[in-house]
Amino acid sequence: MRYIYKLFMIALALTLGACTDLNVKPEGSFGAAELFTNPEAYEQYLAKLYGSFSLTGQDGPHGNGDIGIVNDEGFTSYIRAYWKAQEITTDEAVLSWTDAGIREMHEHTWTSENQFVRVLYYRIFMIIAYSNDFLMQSTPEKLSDNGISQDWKDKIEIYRAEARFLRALAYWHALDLFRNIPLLTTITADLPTQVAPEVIFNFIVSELEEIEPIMVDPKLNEYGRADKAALWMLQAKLFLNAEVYIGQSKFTECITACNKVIGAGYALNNEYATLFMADNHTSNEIIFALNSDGKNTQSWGSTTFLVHAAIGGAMSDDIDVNGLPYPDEELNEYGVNGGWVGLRTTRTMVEKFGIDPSNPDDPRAIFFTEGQSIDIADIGEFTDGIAVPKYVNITSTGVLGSDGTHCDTDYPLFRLGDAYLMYAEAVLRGGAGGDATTALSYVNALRERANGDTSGNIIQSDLNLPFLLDERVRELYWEGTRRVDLVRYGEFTDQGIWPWKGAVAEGITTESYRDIFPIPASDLIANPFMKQNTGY
Amino acid sequence: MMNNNRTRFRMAGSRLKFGMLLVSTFMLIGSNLHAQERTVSGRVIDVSTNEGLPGTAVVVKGTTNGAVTDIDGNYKLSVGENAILVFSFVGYKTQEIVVGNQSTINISMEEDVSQLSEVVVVGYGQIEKKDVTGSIANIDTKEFNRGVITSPERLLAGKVAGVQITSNGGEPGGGSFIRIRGATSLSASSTPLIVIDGVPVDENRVAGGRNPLNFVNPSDISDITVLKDASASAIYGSRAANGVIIITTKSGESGKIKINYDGFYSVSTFIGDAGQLSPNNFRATVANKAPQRLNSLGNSSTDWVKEVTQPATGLKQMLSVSGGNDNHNFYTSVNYLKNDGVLKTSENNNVNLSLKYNGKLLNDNLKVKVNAKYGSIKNRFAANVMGTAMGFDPTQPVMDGNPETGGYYQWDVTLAPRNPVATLDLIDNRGENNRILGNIELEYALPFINGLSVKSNLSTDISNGVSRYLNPRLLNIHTGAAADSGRYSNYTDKRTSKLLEVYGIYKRELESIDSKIDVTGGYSWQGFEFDSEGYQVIRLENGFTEETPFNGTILEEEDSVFSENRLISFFGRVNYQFKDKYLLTANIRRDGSTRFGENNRWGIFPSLALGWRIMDEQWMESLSGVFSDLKFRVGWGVIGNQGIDDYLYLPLYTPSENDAQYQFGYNTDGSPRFVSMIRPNGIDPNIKWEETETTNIGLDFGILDGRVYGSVDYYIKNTTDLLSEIAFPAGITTGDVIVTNVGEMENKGIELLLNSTIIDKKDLQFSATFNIAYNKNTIKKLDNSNLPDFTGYEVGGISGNVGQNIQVLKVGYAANSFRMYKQIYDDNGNPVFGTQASMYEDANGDSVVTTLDRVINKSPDPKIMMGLTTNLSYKNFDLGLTLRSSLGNYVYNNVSSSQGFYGRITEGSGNNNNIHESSLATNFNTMQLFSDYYLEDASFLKLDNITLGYNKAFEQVNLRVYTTFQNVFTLTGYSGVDPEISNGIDNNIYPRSLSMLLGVSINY
Repeated sequence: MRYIYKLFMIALALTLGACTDLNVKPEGSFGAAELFTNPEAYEQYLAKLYGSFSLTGQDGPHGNGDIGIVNDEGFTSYIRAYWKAQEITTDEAVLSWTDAGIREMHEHTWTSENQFVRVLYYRIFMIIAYSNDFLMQSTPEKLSDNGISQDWKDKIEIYRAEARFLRALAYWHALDLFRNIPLLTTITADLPTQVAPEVIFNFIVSELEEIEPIMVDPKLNEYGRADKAALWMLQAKLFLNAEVYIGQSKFTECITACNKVIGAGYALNNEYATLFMADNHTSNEIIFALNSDGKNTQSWGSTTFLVHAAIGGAMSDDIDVNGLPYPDEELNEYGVNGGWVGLRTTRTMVEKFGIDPSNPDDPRAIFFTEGQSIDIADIGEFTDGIAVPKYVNITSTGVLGSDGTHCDTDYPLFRLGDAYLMYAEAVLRGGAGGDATTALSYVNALRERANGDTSGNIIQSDLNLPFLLDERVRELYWEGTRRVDLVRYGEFTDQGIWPWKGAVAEGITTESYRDIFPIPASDLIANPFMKQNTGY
Repeated sequence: MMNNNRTRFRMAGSRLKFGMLLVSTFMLIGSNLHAQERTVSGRVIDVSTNEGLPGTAVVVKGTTNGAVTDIDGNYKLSVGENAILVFSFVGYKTQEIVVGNQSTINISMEEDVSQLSEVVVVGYGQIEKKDVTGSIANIDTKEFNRGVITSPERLLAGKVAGVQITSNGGEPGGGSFIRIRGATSLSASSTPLIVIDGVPVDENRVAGGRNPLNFVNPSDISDITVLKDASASAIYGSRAANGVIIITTKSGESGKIKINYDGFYSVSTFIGDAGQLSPNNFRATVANKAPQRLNSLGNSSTDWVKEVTQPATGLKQMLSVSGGNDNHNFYTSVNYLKNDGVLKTSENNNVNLSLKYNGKLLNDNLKVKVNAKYGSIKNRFAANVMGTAMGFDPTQPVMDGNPETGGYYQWDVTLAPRNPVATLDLIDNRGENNRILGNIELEYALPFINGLSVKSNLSTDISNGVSRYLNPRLLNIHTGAAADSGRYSNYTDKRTSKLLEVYGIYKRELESIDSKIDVTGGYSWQGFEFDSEGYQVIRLENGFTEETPFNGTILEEEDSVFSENRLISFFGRVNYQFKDKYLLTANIRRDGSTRFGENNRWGIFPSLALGWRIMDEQWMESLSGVFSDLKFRVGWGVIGNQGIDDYLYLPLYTPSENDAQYQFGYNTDGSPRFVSMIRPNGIDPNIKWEETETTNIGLDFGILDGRVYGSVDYYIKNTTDLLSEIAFPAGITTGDVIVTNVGEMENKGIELLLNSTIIDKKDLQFSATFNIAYNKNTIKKLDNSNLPDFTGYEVGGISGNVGQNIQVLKVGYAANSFRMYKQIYDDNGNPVFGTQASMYEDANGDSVVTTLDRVINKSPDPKIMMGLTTNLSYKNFDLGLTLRSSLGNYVYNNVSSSQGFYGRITEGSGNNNNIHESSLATNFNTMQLFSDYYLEDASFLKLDNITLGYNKAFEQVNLRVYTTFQNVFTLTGYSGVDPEISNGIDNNIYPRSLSMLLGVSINY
């Protein structure tokens, strides 16, 4: 009997001992209170804010993705989604794939259920939410509470400015693409409502003004992080398009920003093509790039997408132009081990460079024409349309990238060449603070770099707005700016045609409400306060 | 009748017999004093055992004059003129015999099939079936499904009204889809809690495993109880919302040692037509629709589906030994089951061990139960190549001798599908699982308080899984891009669950107020841990082996995951009986779960049920000729669901892997400096229990002297705070798709169960059990979704295109209803192919056909499910079968929709694809994924299994030889291979097969 009593006493003791402890935590993850006493955590969080523009999740190239709203993590890459919205909706690019919604982008038939529109919207707002959380976790009060040293506090103050810059960048994209959006600056449980475009515009302007003194001076920040010049580029872009966003012109402000950039010590690359190569981090022209690395920064978006998707047809048939065997052709020519047989361009773009794509007038044309037709009978056939292997995973000295699948090439978001062209356009559009002669010299600087001499230079009378729109194609094609430019010129929808616009081979105009994209249906469902953009 | 079944009855019976002997003896002492005219004597035996039946009451009808049989079943009694003797014994059919001038009356007593005295196991105890107030179904060995069965739940398919058990395809040892009375949740689990010998078990898989329940040998199970409504299941609180399945394994019994051998050999074959074009038909179609591809066709004629399937064999060998005496008994068994799949290379090998000991110590005051179940399972997984086999160009050969590809024919095209035979042969995907569940149960009857006992249950459940996957370089020549040179992965999982329960039971008969009371109350602690680690290697060299995993290859990543959750509970139950007719059961459980935040951590789950044994009312006596049993039940309760992932309430930050870092500048040596990124998770910190409120009204009845008995139940279940993974408003928090509480869903239905003994002769017996259930599921509310043009949350991903969903969640409709275009048909009844506007109805009348014209139509859930089990025995032969039917379940034929269009022939850039034969009927040139042409009524009737057995008794040995056919036939109008698709999307499933087995069972 005693034995039995003992047994029950043990059971009772166990019972009371096990008690009611219900606090468990996974290994390898941390609560904020635990994490942010380590100052390096703020830097790692800042890396996430930057990395969210390149990568799709916490595991490269996929796995543990940030966004679950679409099935394919590769689609959730910011650069990939943003690039598609800016390029395959225009005359600059078509994409052969049949993923639901791809064709709608080129044909201007997208709906609020289009998954590529949806993923872009959610990625932009994810960056905004991450930034908001970062700013909430790194307030001076919290830093003090967490016992962060003064050295680190000084660094973190700059991190905070950069986080606000990245948030402003995301808001600019949201304003440009979706126009009628909520303004969120904290993590909240409340359902947000949309605000007028002016509110967003003014928010971006004031944020950039406030952080400008804190941002690191041009070229002095670590590579990959934004500095004052990046901020000025964002200002220039915002102001150049202000009429579109708020119906007021801000060309003077645009010129002011461009002048700051141009005066900051950047210089054009000698060779145009090296801007898009695996060692473009050495460029003195690129102001702000989104980093990639074949080994350490892997995704299916960014330049990995841009390099692979542009390869197909005779580029990967392992036969050279003379019909001789050429083993590993894609690897030797483009630094990757296979093409994804997707992206090409239309006749409309090709002709900006001259009539014959195999012998373009403008050397900036990086075209592949063998086996490719200039006209597109079927968007699904890679050989219809001229191929554009502009981005490659090989360095300027011919060294292959570190990985045959994932590319080392950084995505040049802002570069000096664009500042030159923005300056010229803002001057032509009547902005103060600049002059036409300087504008001409900037445009000719780009053309001289392209031609290697002054043979392609233009004269003052050639420099007009239509010329500049085309010049932007020649200089900036496939750099994610075409849709913005066409909208600013009023030629994206109800003016301007190109092959397959409006789902017709020869192209037709489309309705002007498509200058902005619809709010995704899923967000309207989740938030009944949200109103759809007019027309959708 | 199978022998196992008797074991059970005898067990229940032997305890009762002893009790009855005492009671009857006391009752009858006085009455024997009356002087009577003559004496009748005889022996009462159990017809099934031919042994004497002690304790049988023998009473002269209409008097209190009677006797009780002695230990050998003998009785002696004085009777008057025209006496009628009534022989009765609990659990047996009462018999009346006119004495006439007989002086010796020998009686064979038969078990009463209505089994009113049967004891059923419920949560934390057991109860006599007649006292049950909730909706409970109990199935024992006699009714279990037969055939190649690797896991316990398969024993139940088709047997219980309202319980849907669908195998997830025909994979050997594969898992099951289990629903009791419809799905109660959207994103949280809708799978019932499974309790094995008192231990709620972890139902999650480990690496390298198929069905986590395979560690239990189905032949070791003696019976299974299904708790369907809240009044029965609320004692399990937060995990009971989807019902509870209680599995009880066999015990030994007193008497001589019993040895049982059971073995079978089986052959399975793939049956059915996958629907791809034959080689000749394909050639003709290419000539007609894609003549430019004619010269790329091969000269072979390959039936790829045939090439990837095989007749598969299975073998079972099982030995069990059991025995004991009055105080101790044991049961032990060893089982080997090897079971190959009809898809080449798939295998399942199970070794199961089981040990059970029951003992009584300290003058029977201490009962000890020790239980251990062990399973060692080796699996080989076949790559699921059915879809590829159907779509692979049938004019190409299996082998072309190309040394570069290992002799297999392969397309020299980057994105082309791989030769399915090569895929099966070359991919080596194996797993090993070991799982042990052990528990010790102690029950101590406290000597100082009569009726009070204390029980404790300690258990450990450990499962280990290893998965090794090799996709060699040889298979990936030509694939280019990412997987260009193969992949190897190796993962090890460990799941552990520990349980401690202590509770008291107090039983008391309060004669003064004609009441019985039975109170149970206690505490439970259960913790679950999951540990996983592994690595992947990519870019394999030729000749890569597991022994040299890093030789010339790249280590892609090392993963390590650990998570845990805990449940702490207090529970109580009161069973109260008044006048043996009025029954009350009240349960309450308070559960605390680590899966919710501090404010929502604890939930209370109550239930109340009332039963009324109408049959025992005086005024029912006039109807006793009609009814042998009649009981009315009504129950209500609230139960919870916490079947979501761990930590979903907890704001956490996680660092990124090495291949997802971001460069910030350079190190001092000039190399790029990569910084790991930390990310906040996306969670709703306020998530809380999903709760299901159930009301159940039921009637149990027996008619024709218990020859027909059954029950009918009506229920309504309303789930609130539905846990669902939905899109959050963009930007408000650091996640887009988050698990949160979103709304309400209702299930209501009616169930009928009928058991009947149709023929009951000495040599010929025929019994049948039929069940039918109707269930209707409706989403009642989804938060924030009340916009008039809300199209519904999309669910149900399909193949054919990335990012396409075919089902929706929308208020007013069943969960996962299909949302599709209404196809327009021409005068000949063929679907129109052309522009979207000409093909589909403009459902909303806005004169354009857009995605808004997809209409919600039909659901994958069956409206009506039926099951019929019959057992026929004639002399030494027996024949049993199980028929199962499902009505009103719709299936989207994704195989047909994603492969049934001519454009698919040339879809690849250089390779040709075979197409589904539906294209010949539709003439679709392009893929029409959303045409409701592909939505089909998949109602079916299946003969699940039929067994013919021959039994022969020798002096010491009983021999049984039997043959079983499994999956014998399916009657359906569905055009795909198999209409039974649990989620309603028929897409590349592992084909189910027809199995034939021959077995022998020897009992010593």
